[in-house]
Amino acid sequence: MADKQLDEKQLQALLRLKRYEEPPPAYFDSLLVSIQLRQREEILQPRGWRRAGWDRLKTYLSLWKVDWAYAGSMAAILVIGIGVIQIVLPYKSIPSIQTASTQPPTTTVVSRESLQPANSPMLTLQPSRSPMLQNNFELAPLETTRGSHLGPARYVIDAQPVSYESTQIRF
Amino acid sequence: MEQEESRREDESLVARAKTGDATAFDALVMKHSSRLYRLVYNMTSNHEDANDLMQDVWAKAYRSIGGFLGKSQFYTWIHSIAVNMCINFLKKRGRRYTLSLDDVDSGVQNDKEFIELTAASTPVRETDLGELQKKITEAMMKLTPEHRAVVTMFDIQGMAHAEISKITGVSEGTVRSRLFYAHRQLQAWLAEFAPSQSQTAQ
Repeated sequence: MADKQLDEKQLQALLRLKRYEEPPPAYFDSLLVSIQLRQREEILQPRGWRRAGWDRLKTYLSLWKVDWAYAGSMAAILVIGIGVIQIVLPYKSIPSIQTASTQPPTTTVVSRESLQPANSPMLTLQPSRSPMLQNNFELAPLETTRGSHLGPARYVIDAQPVSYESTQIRF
Repeated sequence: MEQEESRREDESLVARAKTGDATAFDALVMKHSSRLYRLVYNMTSNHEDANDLMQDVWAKAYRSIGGFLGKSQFYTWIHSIAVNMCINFLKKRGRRYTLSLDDVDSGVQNDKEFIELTAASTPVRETDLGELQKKITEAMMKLTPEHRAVVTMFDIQGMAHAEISKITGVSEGTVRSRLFYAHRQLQAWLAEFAPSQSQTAQ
């Protein structure tokens, strides 16, 4: 049993033995002949050109030396990112569109006199059906939605809300 | 200077081979087969397997030379084809293999570093050259194909880290790391050939 291991230099010196292993004499001449015969056989094969095309493609792709683990992880991150965006965004924008389109419109006609002031910038009237969509370009009556998400009507003076309390009167 | 001349010669031969000049391709075969064989032979440790693989490598090179863009040297390109084909072959072959070793040239008896080790280590001195060759080969065959490829190119063929990195398609750091790991394993498996403490002190 050896009492120590080979050091780096000794190992390399030992491996030098492998440098002196030689194939039989004239081996490389016979190798060339074998290669030439094989080339001829491949040329004579009717499907040789397909194999050549496939080999060229594989060799071309191997030049890129793609790190498949890196490419796979980047693809996974991309897919997860798209998934997160799809989960987060619809709750902010799409549900209101869906509600408007799926629920039957409940409309309340509001007279122009009840609007104070009439052209207040804060008073937004949202017609549940756009005249543009209906191809009806006549003056539509002023309508507003009374969906549960909007709550009761609120009055504004000078573009400032005066109350957010419920309009129910209590005694 | 010599390397530059060799590179230019390769470029010229490749350009001719691309136009269908068979003699140019034959010249490439004769020029690179010696080093390529050493790589393939040391990866397989079997002369017959190495011979088959050499034919496969050159057949593939012949079919693909039209797609060789010259971004790397021909030498690097043909070696990377050989390494990939050897690794695929070894994975298919698995653990079942028989050694079929070439003879050791008498030149080893004039190798300065090997002579120094023989003088320092009694086990090396007392072991028959054929037996020593077999034990080293068996230890190398225990390495994974990727580690064996790096050891073959660095320790047996004397390539630089950067060159091995280009051939294998991994970073130089990975090459160094594989070498370090492979050397540690070989040191353990070939410990019987280490000089004893007293021999080292002398």
